[in-house]
Amino acid sequence: MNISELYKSIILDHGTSPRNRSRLQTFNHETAGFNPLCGDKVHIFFNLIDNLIDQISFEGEGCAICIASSSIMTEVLKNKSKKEVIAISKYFINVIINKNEAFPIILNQDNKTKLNSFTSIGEFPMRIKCATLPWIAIESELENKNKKIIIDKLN
Amino acid sequence: MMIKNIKEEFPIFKNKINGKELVYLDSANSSQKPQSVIDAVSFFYSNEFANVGRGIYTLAVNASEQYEKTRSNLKNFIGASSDFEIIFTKNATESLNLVASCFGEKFIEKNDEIILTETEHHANYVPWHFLRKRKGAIIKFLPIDEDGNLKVDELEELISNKTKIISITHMSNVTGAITPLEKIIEIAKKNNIPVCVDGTQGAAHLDTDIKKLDCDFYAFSGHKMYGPTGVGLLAIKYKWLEAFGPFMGGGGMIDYVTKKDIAYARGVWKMEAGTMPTAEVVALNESINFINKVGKKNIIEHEKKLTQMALEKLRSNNSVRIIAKPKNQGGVFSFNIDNIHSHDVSTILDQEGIAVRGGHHCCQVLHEVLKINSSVRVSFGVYNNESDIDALCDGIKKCQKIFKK
Repeated sequence: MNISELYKSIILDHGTSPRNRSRLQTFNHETAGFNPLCGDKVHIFFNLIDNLIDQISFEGEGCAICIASSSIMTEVLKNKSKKEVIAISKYFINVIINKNEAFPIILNQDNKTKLNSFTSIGEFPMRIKCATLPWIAIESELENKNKKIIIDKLN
Repeated sequence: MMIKNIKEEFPIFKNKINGKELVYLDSANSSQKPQSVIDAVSFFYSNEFANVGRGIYTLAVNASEQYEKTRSNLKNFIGASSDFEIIFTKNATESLNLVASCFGEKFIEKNDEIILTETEHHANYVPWHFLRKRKGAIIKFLPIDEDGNLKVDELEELISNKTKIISITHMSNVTGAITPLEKIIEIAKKNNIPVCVDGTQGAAHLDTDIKKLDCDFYAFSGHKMYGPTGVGLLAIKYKWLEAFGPFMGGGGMIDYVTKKDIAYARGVWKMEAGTMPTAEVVALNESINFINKVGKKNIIEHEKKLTQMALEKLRSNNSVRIIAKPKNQGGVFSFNIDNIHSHDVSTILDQEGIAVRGGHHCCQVLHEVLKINSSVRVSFGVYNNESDIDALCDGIKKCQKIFKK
């Protein structure tokens, strides 16, 4: 596997000049993902109005893969419903771990290209979590999964 | 044994990684193993295996003898006087947990203070945090300056009549800063405070004479000194071994057991419950032989020389930031390349056959203090040479090229 297959220009573009990297002025949902292995952190903010994501942004520190994935996620998920978010998230994880499976999903070509640019990550298993970090975070928020980090706080 | 040809002793370097020669720069994480150590594991299992400390048949007696031979050779290796014993554990982490747990159980009360440093590996922080939670103890951190040197001058101010123990690393596994242990232990002794040293990075890479140091505990691991995984070591002053209750319960650590009472074994046996990593302990003897044959002094010099050479070359690259500049440095340093995350660097270098670690290296507090999210770590072992540094420099240029697109 050539390393440029991993660092495709679209990933490098979003990884080094991420879109929507800020804290939303108004939001009614927020969620965070943390990778203890490398210290990558993403914090996602979104405003859900009438079951549609009206605004979405993220803040975070991490590698180019993680930042690109977060940036692309915020672009792709804008104006999507809860149900669509879960479906797109499943599509994305499928792209990474099982490239061949067909997946019926409504995405325009531009968004599809963005998500498909992560196909080579499966060849670098240690980096899969970098790409899935923001997606797992938003999925757990929308599905109310109890995946919160347990912090052993001092009294 | 000459360092020049030492790579030949390590079979792993015969393999290609991603089609390239392996450039292994992660010895601070774990070292590679010479053939003699690998053979010793295989020989023991093939010809001499039995569990130790139990059976009275020939195989068991021989196995026990070999196991104890490693213990006594380890004492010589780290310069332990007869005041010290060596306990076998699973790893240095378990050794440190043993100290924190057993010391804490007996000697730590609410509001008692434990002094650590900002450079500690999680293995020398989290076990003490457990005490903070369980006993209401207070942890104080000896700070570092901007170059990564411990501010030893501030130690006396941190010490109070509540200070019960100081636990401190021999060398930072991130910056390579060597702790001025003599000075710290002198201050501690003056205040009658015991000192636990996390010697994980020290044992194979620094001058280690614990008799001269006069610390109370010295924790280290076999797998970082060219030995097998699964063996941790704790040198412990006999008076503490006597004072401590057992760390874990089970077979081998008892004298007698009735429905009502249990009497614990004496000496190190009290701390070695259950079947121990017998073959690994026996093979560890070969790794001591290996280090002695090459000469610890030669290894220290070799790694120091490589570090200075690498730092000089990396500093000539304007985009590379070495994260610390310690006064006294062992064979470890960490860096970042401007605008490229350590994990991206690590993946790109890996494609060139170069093994480095990216991330926080189990030192999140240190990274927070240095105000960086993560770093790329380079650490040397006896098998590294100048061409490894050239490969690293070329790899860094490749990272920059990819991210310039």
